[in-house]
This record gives sequence, structure tokens and C-alpha cells, in this order.
Amino acid sequence: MLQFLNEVTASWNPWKELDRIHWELDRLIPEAFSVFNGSNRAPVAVYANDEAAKVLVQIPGWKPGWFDLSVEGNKLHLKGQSVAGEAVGGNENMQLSLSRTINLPFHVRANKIQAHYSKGILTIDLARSEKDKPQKIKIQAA
Amino acid sequence: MTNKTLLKKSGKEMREATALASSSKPVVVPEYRIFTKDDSFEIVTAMPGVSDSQLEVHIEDSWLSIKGRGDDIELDGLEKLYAEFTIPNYECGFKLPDGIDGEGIKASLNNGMLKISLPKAKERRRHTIAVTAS
Repeated sequence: MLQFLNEVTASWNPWKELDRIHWELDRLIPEAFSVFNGSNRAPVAVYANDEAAKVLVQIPGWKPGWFDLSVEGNKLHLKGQSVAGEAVGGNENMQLSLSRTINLPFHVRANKIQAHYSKGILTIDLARSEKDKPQKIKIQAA
Repeated sequence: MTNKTLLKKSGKEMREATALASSSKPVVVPEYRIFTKDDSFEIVTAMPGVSDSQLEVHIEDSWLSIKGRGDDIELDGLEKLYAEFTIPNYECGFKLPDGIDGEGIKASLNNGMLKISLPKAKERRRHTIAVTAS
């Protein structure tokens, strides 16, 4: 009996199942966004450390020229709109739009921002502003 | 011919049958739509993070299978603050109806959107019949 149970459970990996559940939960929040219904709230992911940040936007079927990105302090404004008749994926007549503001963990350097769009993912690399970095305070002996 | 004849295998069945199940990434069914035109069907699936070199589209015994391996996100020493999405592996299948012209099937991947055009056989296409006055 014990050997049969081991054979049954050998093909089930609980860690992969947890990964799948985690992925599904991550999808729940922006579930209303669909590439096929023209919603303007594309899912985003933000990664950062003390020096830099990376913002990913999942928005397949767009063209690089449709995006309008800007930075204001620690806010990243993501905007965009498709050109009529050029939408990809059966939505040629649909007007696609994007409008989101992402709060970053620090102010960024406007002249050190790089963005590229590939395979349906918009990737934005940002560098922390020098003024926003922690300043060391020297302690003088009395 | 209606869209109801294009059936989808469950994601669980596809995971058990394919090598993608051995990957550490979850395997999910991508968002898709099916469009009917006068002379063809179009299947459009959203597979962000997949390049054409990581995409497989096969037809066997009237079964169209699509598998895509998603990219790994390069973190470069960064930590995740929050993520509303991750990039999984994708997998789905469709049972094709009769009356598809197999020689004319085309697939194209454009910035994460896969479009598969399935032309109808000539006898299945819409024909306009002229009406003459008697």
C-alpha cells in the first residue's frame, strides 16, 4: 500500500503547483486587462535595488511608436495609444490605449532612462537620482 | 462551420503530455480569440515574452498544438518590489474542424501576439449567389 502511494505522488510536484498558484494570484489583480478588450491598465512588475530600478509592462501587440513615457520625480507615467487600423491580433478596428502611473521607490535621473519594447514586454531601466541617494554624515570629534 | 468545433484541451492535460512540464516555470493556457472570416479562421493568442525561436506550432491529425517558452527576466541584481505578472511557459491546443485547407495555414508572431490563419477549403467558403428576376 505504501509503495502504491509513493508511485501515485511521485508525478505530482507540490512546488510546481505552488508556482502555478502564485502565477494565477499575480494575474488576479489586473485580470480585467485583456489585450482583446482595449483596457488601458496593462500589468506591470517593478524591480529595484539601492541604485537602479527596472519596470516591466506586459502589453503584447503594440508598436514602439505608440508609447508616451515620462518621468516626474519618483513617478513614471505610462501612456500610449494605437493608431487606428494598425492594431495587431484581430483588433484592427479597436482603439488600444495605455494609462498608468507607477510610484518608484526613489527619484530617478531623467537623462539616464532607457526603454525598449520586445516580444510584447516594455522594459524601462531607470537610475536613481544622485540627490536622492543617502548622504553620509561625518562625525567630528569634539 | 462554427467556432464551437474548435475545442481546447485543458491546461492540465497539456502539461502532463509535454516536455515543458519539466521546466521550473508554470505552464499556462494563453489568452486567445478565434475570428471567423469569409475565407478563413484566425486564431490569435497573446504570448508575451516568447520569441519565434522559442515557439512551436504543430498540426497532427486535425489537432493544432501551440507551445511557447517564455523568457527569463534578467534582474541584474535587482529585487522584486511587486509583480502583477510573470512570464510563464504557454501551451494550448485546438481541434480543427473539417474543411481547412492545410496547405495554406500561416502563422506569424508580432510582439507577443501569435496569429494563425487557417484558410477554409474552397467548398467551405462563402459564395454569393446572384438572384435573377424571373
